[in-house]
Amino acid sequence: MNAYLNLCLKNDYPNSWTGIFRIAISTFALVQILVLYPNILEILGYNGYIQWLISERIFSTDTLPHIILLASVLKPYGISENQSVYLVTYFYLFSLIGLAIGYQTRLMAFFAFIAHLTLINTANLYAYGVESFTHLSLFYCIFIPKNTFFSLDKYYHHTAEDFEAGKILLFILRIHLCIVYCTTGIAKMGGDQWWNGEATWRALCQPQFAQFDLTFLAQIPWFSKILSWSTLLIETAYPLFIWYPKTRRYWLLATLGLHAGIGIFMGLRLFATIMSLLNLCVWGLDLLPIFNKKAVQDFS
Amino acid sequence: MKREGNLFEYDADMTLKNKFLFGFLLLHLGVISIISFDIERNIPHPLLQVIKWYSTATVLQAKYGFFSPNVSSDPSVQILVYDSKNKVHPFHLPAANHEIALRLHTSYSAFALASDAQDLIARSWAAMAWEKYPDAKRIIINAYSYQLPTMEQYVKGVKPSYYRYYQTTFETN
Repeated sequence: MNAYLNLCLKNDYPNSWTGIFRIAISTFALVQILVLYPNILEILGYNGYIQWLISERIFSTDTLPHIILLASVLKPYGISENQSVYLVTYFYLFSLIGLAIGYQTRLMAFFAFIAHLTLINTANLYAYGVESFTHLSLFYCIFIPKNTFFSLDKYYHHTAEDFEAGKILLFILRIHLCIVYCTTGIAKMGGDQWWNGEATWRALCQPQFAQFDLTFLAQIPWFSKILSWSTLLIETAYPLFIWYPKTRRYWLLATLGLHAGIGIFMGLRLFATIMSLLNLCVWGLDLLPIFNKKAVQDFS
Repeated sequence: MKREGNLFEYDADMTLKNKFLFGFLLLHLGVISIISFDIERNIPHPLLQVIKWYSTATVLQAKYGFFSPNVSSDPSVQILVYDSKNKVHPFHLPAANHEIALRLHTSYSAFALASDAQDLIARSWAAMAWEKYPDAKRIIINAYSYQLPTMEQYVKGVKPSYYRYYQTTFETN
């Protein structure tokens, strides 16, 4: 049993990754909610783009928290539906700040997770990939060991971090990312557009995603095909090449390149950012000079 | 596990608490994988409901087939407000930035798929337009799907077009 555990968990990845991950995810989620804040009532409000009465019945999951529940409890106390929206949003902001500074880390992560679930279940209609990855990241933050690096908890309690729990979390997150990339690659293989290059053409030239006029790609279809095939390769073979230490650095760079392309050329900037952060936090910290072995040892 | 000293040394002598943590997270991954790898058809119905609820609660979307198997056509919505003089005012749902506009587009995709709910959703959009134009006499909502030709067709001169798949009109007395 111990041999299997050793095989799964033994690695020389910087233990500070839990602290970096916690700060990166909470800061990202803060930026994300602040970006959405100008139209928060249109997205989440009672009389938003789509009224609660409609969106709740058609697009939300009954058994998960919805702001409508909170609003119905608070309404008798003179708190309107839209004020309930602000309450949940501020609670989410407060939890994320707590998580970022590492104050009551696990509790704050749990609060942020529940608040995010409530917000997303209320605005399920508007959610795309970035919400999924923010949510799963917040879920894993709940299991971050107490007293992680760069946290107030560590500063006040002076107890050592449970590195073992950090190793377990790292292993699970790595497998989860492998599942994500592998299944998305396999799903793409089922369509002809990813084999003949039309997928890249369509992704880059439809108005929803087009950031630049790339219609010249039609003149060089072989290039579109190379981009499509590269995407299939990077995603499907991700578990193999990212796990193997000698190819990890190259596959990580290729994956980051793929997400940079998605961010720049398709305008999915927040999605590209969260995917890049996840990859960097769980695979790439030891490749960055500031987080290499010696630097972290010196720091601690 | 050595908790002090060399940060990078690992000795697999796991505490009971962490054995539970490891077991729970492995189970969590197993549940997510059932949805991710699309093997749910082998699961009995009541258990599948629990699995789906759990995966929605923890990771929202466990099916990661983004842009698969093919890249779908871009949906769009047009809201036209007619005043008492029959002058038309295009109304755009407010979006302060690019990221909010992306979310609106996501809702247009959901609109395209929710054929039973399209009239209700359109009513909601019309209500928003009416708020801005209280004197409106008529509001028309059109939903389109972008028809991008293939690369080969595009080179031969075929132009992109919009296909209207939905239209509704709201009028005041």
